Amino acid sequence: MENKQNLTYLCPYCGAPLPEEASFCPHCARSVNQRQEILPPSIRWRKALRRALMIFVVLLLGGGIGSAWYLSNQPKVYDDGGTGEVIYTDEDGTYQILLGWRDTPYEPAPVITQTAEQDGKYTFPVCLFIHHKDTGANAGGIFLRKVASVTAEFDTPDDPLGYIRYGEPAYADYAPDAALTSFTQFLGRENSARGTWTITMENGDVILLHQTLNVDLIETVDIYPADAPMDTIEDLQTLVNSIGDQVGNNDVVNLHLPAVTYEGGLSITERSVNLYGNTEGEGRTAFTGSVQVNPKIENGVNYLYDLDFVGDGDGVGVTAAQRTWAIGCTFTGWRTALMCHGTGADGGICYTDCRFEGNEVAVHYNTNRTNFFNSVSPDNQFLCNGTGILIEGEATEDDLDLSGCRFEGNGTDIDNRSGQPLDISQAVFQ
Amino acid sequence: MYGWLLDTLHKEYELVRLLKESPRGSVSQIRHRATGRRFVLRQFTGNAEVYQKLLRCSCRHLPAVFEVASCGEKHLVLEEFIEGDTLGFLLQDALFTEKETRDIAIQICKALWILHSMAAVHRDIKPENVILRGSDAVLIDFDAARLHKPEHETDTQILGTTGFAAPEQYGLSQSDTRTDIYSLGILINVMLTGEHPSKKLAEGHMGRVVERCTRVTPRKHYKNVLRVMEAL
Repeated sequence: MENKQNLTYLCPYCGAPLPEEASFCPHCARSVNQRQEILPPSIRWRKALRRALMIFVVLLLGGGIGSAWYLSNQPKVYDDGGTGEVIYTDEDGTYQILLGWRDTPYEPAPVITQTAEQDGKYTFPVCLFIHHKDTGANAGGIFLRKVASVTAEFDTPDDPLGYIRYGEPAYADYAPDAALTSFTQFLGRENSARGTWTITMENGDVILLHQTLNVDLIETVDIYPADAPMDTIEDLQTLVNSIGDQVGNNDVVNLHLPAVTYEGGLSITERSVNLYGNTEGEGRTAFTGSVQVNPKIENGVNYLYDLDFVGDGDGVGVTAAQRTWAIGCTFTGWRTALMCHGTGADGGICYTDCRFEGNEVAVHYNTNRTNFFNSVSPDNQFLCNGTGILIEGEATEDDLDLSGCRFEGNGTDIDNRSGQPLDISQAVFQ
Repeated sequence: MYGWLLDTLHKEYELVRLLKESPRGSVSQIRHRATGRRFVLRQFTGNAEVYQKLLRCSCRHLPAVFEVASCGEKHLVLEEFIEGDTLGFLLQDALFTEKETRDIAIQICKALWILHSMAAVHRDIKPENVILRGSDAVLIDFDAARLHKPEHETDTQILGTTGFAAPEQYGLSQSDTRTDIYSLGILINVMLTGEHPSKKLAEGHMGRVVERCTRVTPRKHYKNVLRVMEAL
């Protein structure tokens, strides 16, 4: 190997030329640099210093230490000051203790606002999370062993007629990472109340976490034919598209339709609306084209009441990508009368008191939305359809409830390709 | 100097045996033909700053670093070969007395103090990495490059500004040095009982030291190796 190293230094032991920066002479195998012996500070000196300091402190403070010790061993109250979070330190470590939501376990939720319909009964979970402060690791199990009791209580709400109360805090499978979960209940009133979780430790310390629940009432907006033009499918489509500009996102919008036959289809793609067919007098409200339910602003169930969906042998009567509940409707003459599709957490179809007649397929589940919503379908009639119910996609855990349903004259009553559990014990097949 | 040293080693030294080989490099024992002196030669890519620092210091409880030659990311480190048996080897036959354990543990603390004060962490303290040379315990195989990721800016800064101060002073987090204190606690226990403390904790004072070294709760843990030395 050619060596271009500039050897300007001579080994003090063997005289061999070395690079200037060399620390070692490889020719005579000896160290040629200066070394400094490194020693840790003397233990004795440190010990002596610490002892002297200790004596000094003892002399200086005298009985002060005793009283400080006495005070420090008295049980303490840790109040979160309205933040929903307490940092608690004991001899084993420091913990972050907070009230929050299942999916955001590190974010305290000191103020919760729920929207509710007037006098609706609601339940939602509140989670108590306990983490090791340094690592963020779940410390719920360890911590609870040092806890004597946990209670959760709301003060009297502003409107005392509307209850707001915590369920007993307990471990719940709903939130496995939470130390405790309380299923909190309230009645739909314009209301507010302050809740307090009291954690009493075995050592007498008390931890107080607070949470304010505000209940905002959902406004219900009823629109009748006298309020806005809705006699033709074009008028109705315009109304459905623009109604979002006039109402709040959480409001419920009920469109009370006249007894007309809408020639063509309707797309509900902006925000959820409920469609009420006419029930006054003799005439009913009918659609001859597809109604598509897939609103961008999705704030609950899209209800379809007392509507007739009249097909000509082709097409889909109602396609639902978001939660849709047909009640008292008829579906006749469609290739597929009612179909739910899509993926994700929300969505699904319910149908009750409906009549499906003369369709190639009456109801088609084509979705992986496995929530309970896809399991509600009592008191319907399936008459002379090619297939009554076609189930594809993922099954829901709950039985599909077909109680009170009548199946008559269908080619296939139920084509269950997903292995969906069914409850047909109260259904009639003729 | 890299090429020159490699060249000279080739000519004047012979390989005794390959001790370790990894994708990052190799460690081998070599012998100077003329004098018969043995050395450990590390060839690796990465960061050699800790070895550079050790070049200027001597400590009975760490192998001496004789030479560091670098070519970009490639490094050659010539290190003292420590003659003696490892604690791992000695533990096959017998346990250590409390006094022997204390003496050895204090010496390991001294070695760790030097590494920690250079922003380095050993991270592999185990009986196989402690050699008894006479009455001196020598902590070997501090793969310093493992902890200094050159792409990590703060680590580079730490290395650029450190002297021999306490590690906390320049940002090496306590949790890093704690890893070593933790393993030291385990080692002390194994020397006394032959078992992991979770199976069989050493008795008396040493047991309490082990317990405190291995405690997960930060507050009760020894803050640094000097505190462990004091306790011992």
